[in-house]
Amino acid sequence: MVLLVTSDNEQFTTEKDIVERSVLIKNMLEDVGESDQPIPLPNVSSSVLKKVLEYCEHHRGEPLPTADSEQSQDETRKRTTDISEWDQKFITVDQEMLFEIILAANYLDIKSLLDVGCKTVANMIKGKTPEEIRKLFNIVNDFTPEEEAQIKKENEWAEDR
Amino acid sequence: MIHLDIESSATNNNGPKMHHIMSLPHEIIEEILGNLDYRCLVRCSSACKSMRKTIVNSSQLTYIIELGMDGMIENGPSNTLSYAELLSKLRERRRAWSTLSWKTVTTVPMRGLCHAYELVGGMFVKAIGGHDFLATWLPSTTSESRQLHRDDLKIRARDFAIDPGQDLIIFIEEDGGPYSDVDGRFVRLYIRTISTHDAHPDAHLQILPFFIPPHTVYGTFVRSIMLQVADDIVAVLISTGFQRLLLWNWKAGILLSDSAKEGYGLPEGTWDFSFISSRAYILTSLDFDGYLQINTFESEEGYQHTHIASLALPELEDNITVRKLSTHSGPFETPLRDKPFTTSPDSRLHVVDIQYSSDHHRGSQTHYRLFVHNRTFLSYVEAYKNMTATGNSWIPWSFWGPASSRLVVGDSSFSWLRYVHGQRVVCSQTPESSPKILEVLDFNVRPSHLPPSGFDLGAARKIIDGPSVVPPNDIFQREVTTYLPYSSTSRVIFVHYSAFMIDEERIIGLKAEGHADEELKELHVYAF
Repeated sequence: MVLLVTSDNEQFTTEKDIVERSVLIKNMLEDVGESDQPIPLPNVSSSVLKKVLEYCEHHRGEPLPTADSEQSQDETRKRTTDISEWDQKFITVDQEMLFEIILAANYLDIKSLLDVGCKTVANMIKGKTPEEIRKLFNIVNDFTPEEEAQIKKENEWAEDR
Repeated sequence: MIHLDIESSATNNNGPKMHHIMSLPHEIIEEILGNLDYRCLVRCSSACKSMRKTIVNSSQLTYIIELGMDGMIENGPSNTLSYAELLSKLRERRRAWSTLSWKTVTTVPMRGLCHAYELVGGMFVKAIGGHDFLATWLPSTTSESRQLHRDDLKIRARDFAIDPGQDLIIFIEEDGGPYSDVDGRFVRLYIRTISTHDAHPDAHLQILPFFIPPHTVYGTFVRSIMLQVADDIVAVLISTGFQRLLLWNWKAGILLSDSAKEGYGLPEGTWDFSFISSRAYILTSLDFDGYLQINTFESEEGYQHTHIASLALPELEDNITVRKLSTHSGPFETPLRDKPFTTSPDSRLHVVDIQYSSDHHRGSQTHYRLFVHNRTFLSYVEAYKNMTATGNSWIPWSFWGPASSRLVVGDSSFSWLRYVHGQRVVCSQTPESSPKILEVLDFNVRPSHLPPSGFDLGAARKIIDGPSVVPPNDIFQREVTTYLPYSSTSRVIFVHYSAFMIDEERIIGLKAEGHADEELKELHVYAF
């Protein structure tokens, strides 16, 4: 059993093969060896860790990407944004939580979860106009009207085909 | 151990801070955007300054956008080049073509006659008398040419098709002489490798035969055979007493369809064939003032033919008919491993050569040339698949032609094929012209990104984005106006060629005595 402590000081007890989907924690456990010491996760809150552990538990036992396969996976990555059904349901959360999960996956080094998160955000962007993208992410349009007109003209090629 | 810092208190659920997409680490934003296509990325880049900066500063994201800009797609993973290197390669290639500044000119000797030829994937192959075969890997800016000669084919090949990316050559051979016996005869396709001429390892059957029964008038005389390969499909359009189209999956060794056997037949006046994907093609027909018929032969239930739509050509005066209607585009080539990018299926250009003739004034023929992007045809296939259009629809010229094509006056001179590749067309020289001009048309025009018309490194470029107008004349009922923009780049050269061919990174000048059957002396390869 492994004890995790979140940023809001909540303790989580979980099994080693679940939590080892995080390369960060896996390496920590290897460094520390057998130990009852709690592992502090100062960048992860309890609500996010709960989601992350849910993901790790569902995917426990699946092969972890090795350094080699990770690289080739990255290189062969096509711009497909297919996500499995379970992952899709899992990641149906509000935007705030989605970004938190992405940040946690990045910090904890869980490549597959980071992928799912990034693809989900990409899917939200797909097919949207610049104005819709701003609205989606609450982005302020900081271009001047002149700049905007110029950009629109430059980008015409992408729209009319 | 309790570790509190600003970041951790900020991620506390009770905290007031909301995460914003632009507050994510730079590499995560890049990772997110790396899942998008060029159109989405362009839209993102106009959302706000910081998003724009992220995209502009990323080689990967800029590469995706600029591939889209050039009508190109990635061939697959590059094992050796970084995104920064790929981007610079793409830009270098673009600059070289837009100024016709080739890097090297190499002479490649050819010997003997040329009865059949093909240029695909950087390989030029010619056949003499059906049994002698010379394959040339053409030189590029980074590689030298090499040749493979064989005169022991033991086939009397009438024609052949190649796809070097699959190490594939398909020969077609007829039984008997040009005029054969009354019992009919067989025609066979031989599926072989280019490298060894053995049976192709991916082919379930190494010979695909079909039978020509005798025609009451024409016997078994074969007027013409056309052979085309697209991925795992090979098509034969054969003209005996009538036109007949056969499609095989050469890997599975399955005849998918034979217009002579199935109920649907080919349209009256069928003249030519061209793949638009490995599962769809167009047929040209001389009937009804000429039209281009879009067909698919795959659906979710398996192999099945569907007439998607017929695109009409401009309406003609009463006494005018279409005499010839040929269509040509770049070859379907399986990408070679060292080629990082290639023309996207959407961007391929079709060149339709039209010859009109008048019933009353035979001899007063007029030639026109029509340029159409593959995306125009594919969009009808898409609409049908998405159930937004019914099959077998007739699309009048005015619905599609003016906006999606360019009609110009053509010429009647004999031309070697393979003068189009991707979106570029290399024009033939007129023998009289002096100085000798090499002209390339490019139908990928992005007015805002191209340098203005003018001279650059000895090349003259003009952008034609206004309409081409053919006034009502002896041929056309009404004025024919077309708008598809293109650019024309020309450069003076000091050699006269019988013809030019073009591929992704070369212009090939052919030094020959005349027509395809005569002696081909040498090729001059202008590599970009």
